[in-house]
Amino acid sequence: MTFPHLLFFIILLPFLGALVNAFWGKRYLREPNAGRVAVLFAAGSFALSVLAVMNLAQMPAAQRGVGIVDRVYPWIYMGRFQIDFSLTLDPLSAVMILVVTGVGTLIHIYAMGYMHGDPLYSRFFVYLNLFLGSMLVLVLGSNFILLYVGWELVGACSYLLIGFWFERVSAAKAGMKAFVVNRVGDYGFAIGIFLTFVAMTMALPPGAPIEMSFRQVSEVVAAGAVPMITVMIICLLLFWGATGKSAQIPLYVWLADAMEGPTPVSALIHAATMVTAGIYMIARTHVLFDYATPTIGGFPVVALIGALTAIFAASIALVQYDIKRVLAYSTISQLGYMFLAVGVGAYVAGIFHLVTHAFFKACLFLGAGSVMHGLHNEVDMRKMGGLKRYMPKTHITFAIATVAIAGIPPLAGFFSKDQILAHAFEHGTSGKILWGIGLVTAFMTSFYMFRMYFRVFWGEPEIAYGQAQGGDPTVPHQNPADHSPDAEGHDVGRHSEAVQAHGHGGGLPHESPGNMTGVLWALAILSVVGGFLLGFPEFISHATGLPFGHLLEGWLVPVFHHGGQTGHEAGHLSLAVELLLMGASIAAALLGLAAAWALYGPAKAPQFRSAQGLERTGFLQGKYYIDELYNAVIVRPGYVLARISDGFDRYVVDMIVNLTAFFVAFWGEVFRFFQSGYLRWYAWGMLGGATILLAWFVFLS
Amino acid sequence: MIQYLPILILLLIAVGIAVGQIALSNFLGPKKPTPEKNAPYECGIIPAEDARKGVWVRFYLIGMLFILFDMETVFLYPWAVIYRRLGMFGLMEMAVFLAILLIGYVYAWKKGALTWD
Amino acid sequence: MEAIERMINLPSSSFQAIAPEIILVLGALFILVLDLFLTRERHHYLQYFSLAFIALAGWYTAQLWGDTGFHFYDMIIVDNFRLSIAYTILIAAGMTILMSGPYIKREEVDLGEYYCLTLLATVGMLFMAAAADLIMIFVSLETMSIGVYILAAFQRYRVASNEAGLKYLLIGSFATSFLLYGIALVYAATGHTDLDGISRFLTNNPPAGDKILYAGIAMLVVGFGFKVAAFPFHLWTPDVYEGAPTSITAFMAAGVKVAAFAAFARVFMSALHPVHDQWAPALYWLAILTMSLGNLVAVTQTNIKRLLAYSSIAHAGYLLIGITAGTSEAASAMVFYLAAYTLMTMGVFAVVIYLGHKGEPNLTLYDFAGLGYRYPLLGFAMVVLMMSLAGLPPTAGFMAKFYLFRAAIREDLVWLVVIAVLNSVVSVYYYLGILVRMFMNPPEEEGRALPAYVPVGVTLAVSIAGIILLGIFPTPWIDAAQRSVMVALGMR
Repeated sequence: MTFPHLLFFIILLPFLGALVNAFWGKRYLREPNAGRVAVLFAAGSFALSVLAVMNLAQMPAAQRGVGIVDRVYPWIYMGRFQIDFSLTLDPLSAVMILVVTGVGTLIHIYAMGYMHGDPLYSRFFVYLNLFLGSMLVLVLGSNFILLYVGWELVGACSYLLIGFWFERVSAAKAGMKAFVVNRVGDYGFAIGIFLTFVAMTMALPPGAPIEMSFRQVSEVVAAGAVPMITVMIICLLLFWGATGKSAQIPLYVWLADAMEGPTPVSALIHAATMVTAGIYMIARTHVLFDYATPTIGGFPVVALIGALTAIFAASIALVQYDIKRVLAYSTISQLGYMFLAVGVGAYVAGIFHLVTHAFFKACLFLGAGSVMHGLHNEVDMRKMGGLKRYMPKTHITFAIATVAIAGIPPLAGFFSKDQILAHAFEHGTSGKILWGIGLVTAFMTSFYMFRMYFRVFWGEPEIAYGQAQGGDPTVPHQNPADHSPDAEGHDVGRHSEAVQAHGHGGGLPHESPGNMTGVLWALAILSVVGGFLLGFPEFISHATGLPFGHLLEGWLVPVFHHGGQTGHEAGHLSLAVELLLMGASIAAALLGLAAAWALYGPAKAPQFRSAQGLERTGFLQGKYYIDELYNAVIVRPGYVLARISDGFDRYVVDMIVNLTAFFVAFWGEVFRFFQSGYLRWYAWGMLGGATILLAWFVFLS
Repeated sequence: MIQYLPILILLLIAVGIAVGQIALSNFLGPKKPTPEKNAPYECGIIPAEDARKGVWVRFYLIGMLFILFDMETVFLYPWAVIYRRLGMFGLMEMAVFLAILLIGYVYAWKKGALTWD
Repeated sequence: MEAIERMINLPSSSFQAIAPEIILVLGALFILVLDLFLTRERHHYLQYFSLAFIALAGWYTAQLWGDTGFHFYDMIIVDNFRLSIAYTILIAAGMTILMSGPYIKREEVDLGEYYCLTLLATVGMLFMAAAADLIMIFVSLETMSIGVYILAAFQRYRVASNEAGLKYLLIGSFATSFLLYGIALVYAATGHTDLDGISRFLTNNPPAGDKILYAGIAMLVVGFGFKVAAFPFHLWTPDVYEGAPTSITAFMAAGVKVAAFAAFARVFMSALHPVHDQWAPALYWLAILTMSLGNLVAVTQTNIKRLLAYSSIAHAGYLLIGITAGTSEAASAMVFYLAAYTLMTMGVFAVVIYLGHKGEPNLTLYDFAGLGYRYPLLGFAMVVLMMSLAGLPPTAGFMAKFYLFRAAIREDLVWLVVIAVLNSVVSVYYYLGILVRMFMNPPEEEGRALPAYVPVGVTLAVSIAGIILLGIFPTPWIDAAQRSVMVALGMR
């Protein structure tokens, strides 16, 4: 079943939802209904997405590469520059919209519970819907311009969401930081698009319309009409943009802050969806990257940055105490994996990891949110422990997701991560080194995830519950504001008031409401089955005859088929090597688990657990002091420059402006004088004008 | 431009005669004014009030309506002369014209423009 | 007699050429009669019927789209230019009537004649766009003007309104005499009053130094310049705009200006095109003076209606650029500009109606202080309107200016465009100044709840939607405007 502009309606629904809530949310819909409306629109969008993808699946594979094109509107037509408001659903964007709307809808449902009691309840759902719609514009747009529009829209929405609890200084600052850092990336992206346009004007025959669509650009580049060096520069610029949006070195700094300050819900919507925009964009323009892969010292730049980011962020995550911050760095690290994959041309593996990561990272974030909800916004894992008694559902789902991200078979993370590593390995000499980095990162990932898991759910808290929260009548009352080292408002502001108001004020941890845990279960199940259902390694099914296959591979082939290297079945590696590599990644994951058990296992006394030498390492705890470095090198000189500009603006520009204004006002007053209100003056004025005109025409012509 | 010269001359003559007559009678006529002579002529009776007295607004209303319907009649004459040649079309045209005026008449009537007080 | 013989065989299709106008005339008469039989409580029916007639006229206009030809002995023209303009006028009239309902009730001039006169004035405007003969232009201009004169003075019990009506009438008659004189002189020089004949004559007999013709053209410029409020024939504008009922001010600013520009454009860009080089320099300077004066004086205004009057003068200056350029591309840019301008004008006057009190004490800029926070939707609407008026993207005003200036650049009117852009910069000052007051100043007094004028709100919403639509998705409208060419004259 299909109908005209199906794709357009997918986009339209979330925007409509945002409109409805923006206008009527606060006044008429209010608490539960605003959320329900938002969920309804998001779910509608998901349903339409499923419908559209089913239509796509019924098409023959050859046509699927072209996909369903919905040319909604001729958008900007200026001479050769002819941009359509046009949407394309091909296998790649199909995967993306399913993840975006599917996980997005789950987040909406979860947020209904999590945002309970917030005074700006309906506004939050406006932002969420807006975000969903923007993300869909990003992944469905057929051309660079539309992609850029979506790109900027999600940027704006993320600013709004990060700074949602704007009374909190940390949230407001994090929002600003995210916005500014993203702008830095966007510059690169925008220049890349401009350069693409210029390249197109030169490559296409004169008069041919420049659509800037991915199809057109890919065809022109694949035909070799653009010089290699130009394509390479374009690729670097696009990647520059991707490092901003997807939080890679050197622009990763915003993500951690963005997730530390505000709600886990907004943190999550970034983790699962927005930050993958960079990976999506590179996969989308893979023809360019395949045609002229930028390399540095034999390493593909994208893969190298990805691998370095992966290990770098993972090492920071080893020692953090804030559970959301651990997850934030984990996200950066996993994004690094994805870039590693697309950097070595393993687009399918990269997208595969994107999908599985969306599942388990969503589950982890929401689990963390559930923990915070139960402990009224506690994020310090030193104050947690033994939570499996109080929050059994959260505990089990969290455990599943932890196993999944650690890469222990047969959960989702194992398959995707292993495939990325295998692809890296077969990518020449440089690939071996990248593989090594990836393997170490896999070990670290497993370690820090289990560390968090053990500390939160096993053992005992360093401070008994009820003390820190100050609500238990049997324990002496303590000031709730000073219970956290970074208490910068975690317990102040609207949310905590709301929490108090609905009766969570203190006491023992408690399990979260059903609409939150239900979502956790859904995501946990996806984390379990997502891996082998979507991307079971071909070589194993070949060897053993198991009825699984690499579904995603077959699905995405029409998109990447001209890219050359696509997936495992390329067959560069023998079965033995494959198995060896797989064994290595399993070993790394298990080693991480074992190390975490040894250091943080339930048998350890709580006081001892935080006395580990590793956690004292200032360098890691301080996140390599990159923020401080940026501050010193970029922000402070920026201030100086701003001061100088300010002075120039004040004394030179303003003077010119004021003089102009004076001139304008002066002549305004002069003319105003003639506007006396007396009709005879007006008649004389007209007569004078007529006389001059008459004289002009009669004597000058 | 030269072909318009006769018009200019004609214009000058016309203006000259008009202005000339008034000027001449002004210059040549004997003037012995008395208050009685300067007063407006009102059948020999001493004027009771100022001649420039306002007329009641109803008068203008009636006057305008009269002119409107007068025009209608005037328009009917040339139409009547050739109405045979105009045939059905002409008849319909006139019917439309009259209908519009009739609406105007009804309007004026209903609004009370025809009542004197 | 022969002429009459021909008239008898008038093809019936001719009546279709003026079907929209006929519908509106019938509608006006119907409303006049209906008013007599309606009780006061049911007066709003008149509004609904007026809107219905306008919609019907719009529907008939759509039926004509794509036709070309002359009708009624070259008195009436059918071409897409006329029809696009007709649409703009009908939109202006429809929005005027829509927002008039609550307004005239508040001002206690809730009379049936209001709608009747508005419709009749609209008929005059439509005929101005359709006229193919100078006489026809004159007659339709008078039809329009008489209606508007009365409407300007419609608040009988308000001195300012009476003053506005009388001023407009007196000075308007003065200007019309110039127009008539110009027509006579052009007839004297060419022997034609029909535009087609004038064009043919001028093409066949290049008028080297025919003073009579040029004097006639100068007089025509005065006559049209008055109606479009060009310098120095604009002097009436602020007084009349300020005094007239606000809805009628909107109607004058949009409808009258659109119709006058349509006739202006058709006479100069089509009939007088063969002598374009002779009249273009004068209009070049007229454009510069008009926009500069409008913008410079607008800066010093504090009364919102006067400010908008000067703003409309400035916009007339921009539009004169299109006539100066004289190409068909410029004509279609003008069509787009006029449509955008109509939407903005209607929207902004709808806001003025919203904010006004009964009896209309002077509404000044200070009354806007703090409104942006108190009424966020109204604030949003004003942001869109002011950005569009100032010509900032992504609004209709920007696209309109863009296309108009591009057409001028193609005719090498670079300096004119430079001055126009500088003027736009000046205009940003006072347009955004209103927004500054709305969003950055605290309110002067404690908040009076805004009246719930649903029709005014609808007008505002339509105008905002139109501005955004034209600004973000201009392509189909530009396409329509590009197809809105005037029928070529002098070809027969």
